[in-house]
Amino acid sequence: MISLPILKSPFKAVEAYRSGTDQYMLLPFRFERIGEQAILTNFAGDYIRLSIQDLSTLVDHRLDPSTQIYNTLLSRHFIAESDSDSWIDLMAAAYRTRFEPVANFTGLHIFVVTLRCDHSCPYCQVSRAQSEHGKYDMTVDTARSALELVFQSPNPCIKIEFQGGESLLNFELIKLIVLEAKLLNVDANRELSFVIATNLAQLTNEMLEFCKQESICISTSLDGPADLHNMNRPRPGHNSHELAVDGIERCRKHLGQDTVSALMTTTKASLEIPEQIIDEYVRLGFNSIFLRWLSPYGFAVKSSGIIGYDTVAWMGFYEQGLRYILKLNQQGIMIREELASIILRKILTPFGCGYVDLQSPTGLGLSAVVYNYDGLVYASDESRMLAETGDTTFCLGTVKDSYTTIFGSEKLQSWVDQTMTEATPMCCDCAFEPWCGTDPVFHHAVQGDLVGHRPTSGYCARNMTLFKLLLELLDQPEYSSILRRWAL
Amino acid sequence: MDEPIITTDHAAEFTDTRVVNGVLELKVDLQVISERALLAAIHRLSGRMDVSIHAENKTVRKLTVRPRNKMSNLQEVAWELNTAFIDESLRQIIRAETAPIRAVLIAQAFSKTNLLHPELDAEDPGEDRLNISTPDRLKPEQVP
Repeated sequence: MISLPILKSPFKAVEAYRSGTDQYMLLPFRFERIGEQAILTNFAGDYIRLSIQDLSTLVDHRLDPSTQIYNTLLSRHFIAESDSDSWIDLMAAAYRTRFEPVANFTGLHIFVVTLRCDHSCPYCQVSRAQSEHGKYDMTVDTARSALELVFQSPNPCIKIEFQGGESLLNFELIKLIVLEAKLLNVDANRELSFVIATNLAQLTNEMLEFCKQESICISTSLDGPADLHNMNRPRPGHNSHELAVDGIERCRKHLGQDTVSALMTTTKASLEIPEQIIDEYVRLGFNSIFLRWLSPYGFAVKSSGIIGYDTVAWMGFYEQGLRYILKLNQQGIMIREELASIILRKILTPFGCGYVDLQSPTGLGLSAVVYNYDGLVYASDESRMLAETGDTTFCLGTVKDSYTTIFGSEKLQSWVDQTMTEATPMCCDCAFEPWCGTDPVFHHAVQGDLVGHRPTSGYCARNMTLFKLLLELLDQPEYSSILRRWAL
Repeated sequence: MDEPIITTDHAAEFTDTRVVNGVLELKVDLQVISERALLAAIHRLSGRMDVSIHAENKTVRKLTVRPRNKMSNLQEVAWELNTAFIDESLRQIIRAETAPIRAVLIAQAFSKTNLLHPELDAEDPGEDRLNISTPDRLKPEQVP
């Protein structure tokens, strides 16, 4: 008989890869109970859904290594076995990636070139100065000082956004800032971009030509169909919607289809008609819509009784709108909801975002900064809105101060220190912490405290509901692929 | 192997619960629920109920609970509190067990050097100490 050589098995037996029970260690994770299930998120922000019983078994170190749950938790870094440490570098890299926007420092620089405006919107957070031309305009000297600050930011990508009032009412200053910024950028060598936030009512062909020449994008306001838009945004002639639609078409014609975007603000009158608002965006050829709530700042507070609503009402509006958008996508109409897209990017990728309201630590001064028309520097757009009613808590100085005086100030450092959600009460134990953030201006305005009291915070309630809604929709096969596309 | 530390089945054992004059009273044994877990649970629910805490003795805390919504079912409130105690206790266990790992991960994430394998920072990327890039047939000795 011929004896065959005994071949060495190229693979170890399955048992060799299995540790005995209790051979695993827990990696850092948090959980949130949703009924009889729990959402677990790990240190890198990855998530998994477990039954409460499995969660208890996991924490008790009684998981059976031969089960699918064990292998899933192991491969997604909720547990680790003692003979491997490769997960440390992977998780540290993912964690570091999430904080990349903080390392880059301030990218968005907002110039409030004037407070003058031809509209008198009840939800406007700043004053509506219409007279005394010049009194409410930024001066050339202020603009130049602000530009010097802009280019001291270490961020490789600088976006300069012009706001008002109605920014186009001081278009000569916009031209000067754009041209001088480009000159400064010859040495600074940043990826420099410009956006004009405008209601488009004052748009001229000369302005469009300049925007085309200098590659400037346009951001406008569109609250929905004409009736709603004109009610929300009154102006002489009652034709705000007509002018906005006309302006959008002209911008697209001169500058290109994707150079103009629109933002809507939800008022009490909007709550009943999310579908009509979305239809208006689709009709006008937009491929995204941001269903925004009303900010409780500045002059908007005075009108809150007429136009305001609570978090529950907004969430009802939002969910109805989001489900309608998903339905449109199923019918082949590609439109995305921007807030959902921002959150999905956080849930499904390791990348952070520049969205100021979902940052930890706070995006105040770190993500965005505002150079006001009067030379004062504010930590965010909401900060200057608050200041318009006399609360200058979030003023960082003036454009004449040095860069380090403003951005190295104890004030800013203290905000950063207080707003790390990893260390704030309740957030530190919340499963949604890796995707969430903090909003010190909101909590200061509403609760009188930068950190705020999460159990009674509208910000927390809204975000928790949003996360749960999106996770529920992600689990539904008919919506999952659409939502995953939005995260890209 | 020990029995599970906490399961939902044990919820009823945590507290001695009763309703007195429309107010919920609970006694919590700190040998079962840690003080930290107790406080975290009460904080989490503080938007929906007012809770005052009295020390009965070294290990027992008496809670007086008044739901902010006067229409609340007190049995459901008691159940909600018990659930919160279980969840916070689990969170305490997870936090305690993973705290050293969390510290290492954060340090590694924001260090400019490799804290765990510092030798890798000095290594020449072209160096091939294990001779991996050489085809087996060209290696002097085959490992059986």
